[in-house]
Amino acid sequence: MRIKVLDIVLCGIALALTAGSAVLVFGRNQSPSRVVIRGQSRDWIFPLDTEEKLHVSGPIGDTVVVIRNGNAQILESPCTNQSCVAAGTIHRAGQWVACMPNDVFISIEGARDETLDATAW
Amino acid sequence: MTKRLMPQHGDIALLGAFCLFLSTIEYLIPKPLPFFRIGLANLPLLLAVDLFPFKSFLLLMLIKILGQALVSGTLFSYIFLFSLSGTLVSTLTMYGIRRMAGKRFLSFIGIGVAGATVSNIIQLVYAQLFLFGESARYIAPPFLGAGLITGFSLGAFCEYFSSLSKWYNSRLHGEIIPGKEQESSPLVPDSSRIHTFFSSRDLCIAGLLAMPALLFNPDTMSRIYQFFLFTIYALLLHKKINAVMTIIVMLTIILFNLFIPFGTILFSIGSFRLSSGALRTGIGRAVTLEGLIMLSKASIRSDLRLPGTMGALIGESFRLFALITERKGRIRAKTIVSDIDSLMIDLGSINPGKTLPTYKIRSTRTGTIILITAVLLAWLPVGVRIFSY
Repeated sequence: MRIKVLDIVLCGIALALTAGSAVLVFGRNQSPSRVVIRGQSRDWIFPLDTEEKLHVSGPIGDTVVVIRNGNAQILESPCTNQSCVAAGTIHRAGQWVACMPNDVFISIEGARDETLDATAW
Repeated sequence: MTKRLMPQHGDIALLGAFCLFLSTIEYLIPKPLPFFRIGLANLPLLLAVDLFPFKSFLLLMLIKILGQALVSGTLFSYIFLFSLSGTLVSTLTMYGIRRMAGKRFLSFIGIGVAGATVSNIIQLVYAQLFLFGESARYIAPPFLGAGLITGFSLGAFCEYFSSLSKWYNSRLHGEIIPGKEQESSPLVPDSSRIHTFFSSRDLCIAGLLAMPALLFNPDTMSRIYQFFLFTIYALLLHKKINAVMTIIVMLTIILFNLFIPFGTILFSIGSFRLSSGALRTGIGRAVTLEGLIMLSKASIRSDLRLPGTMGALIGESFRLFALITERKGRIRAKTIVSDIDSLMIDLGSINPGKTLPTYKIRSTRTGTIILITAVLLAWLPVGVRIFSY
């Protein structure tokens, strides 16, 4: 049995694919960003890239949270000052919006250094 | 220069029979990962790369795909789709690179590695679509690495076998060595009593009618019901079910889906949060896959005959396969190559034109009623949903 030139080439390609996929999967910790919504009695979690509309019930009514196009925001709120609605969208890890009167807290979780790099450059 | 004869259908059926035999061996070997395959059944295809013209090669490939699905009873499941596209792309790759590169710079080892790698890439894409979702990428490195090892080993075995095999070299040079005349053995269909109620054709049709009830039903709860229903069907028809393997496969699918959380958080341990949406998706995917496998096991019987030349060829392969299983005691590890070789020479000299035993079992009236009830039970949750609106 003799191993020939093209055998080595093809084994090399297969090995490169294996190593490449390993580097891609395990090399970087690129966990995608997630939205965590804490309500009065229940918590939710969603990937930031989903489309989701959620009614979170709190002490004074329903807060409507929307996740769309990689952004999360409070769309409607039963509170009087409406500052949570005015806060607009969040998308970067560490950002948050809260509605104190209705006990709703939304935050973005994810790899922070990635966003740091993005702002540094 | 050697002149190659058109291989007779006999050779295609013979290599096809070995595909079936190796599929059953593959099925028996325990695997470290539930979706991992050694690809033993590809050995005859690898051997055929230099023996057959393209058309015969394609026929052999189809026998392998369909025959394997009939042996393992997965014709109606994603597994069949996995196997179909994996085999299709990898065998075409193997045939293609041999035709392009020739023999001087390329041995079976390179061909085997290329085939295994291409097949694994296709299966990874399907795993992402149907089973694991985004988390499928985590199995990519071990899957591709294993493909390199199995492809290399199969190629090396093929290289070794082809250098020693009298059968292989006689076919390569277009000769036929006469073997000892063999008595053909009849194919015995599943002999348990329940099978005398249905013809294999009616059983298959009932399976096809029940399948959409599972596939086009978005509700996870009723899919769980259908999974248990189909498992009961398979057990009633005395099909072999590996309970441990089924549970491991299902848990693996659920676990992979939990890595991408969404929906209500049920509880959290450290940074891991168990979410309702991910759990429901995982369970849904797991029962769908296993439900289809159970339905398939229940409704595909090995005496099912497909129409046309293809059907006849598969039938012939099954007959030779039965002969191989009868004589597998003659294959010993020490003299594996020469034992397989003499088996191939003997079986290759059986006249493929000999009349195939046919079984004309007709479904009885009771059998037909049972089949209709079984299909209706599968559609029950869908009916309930429609009426509750």
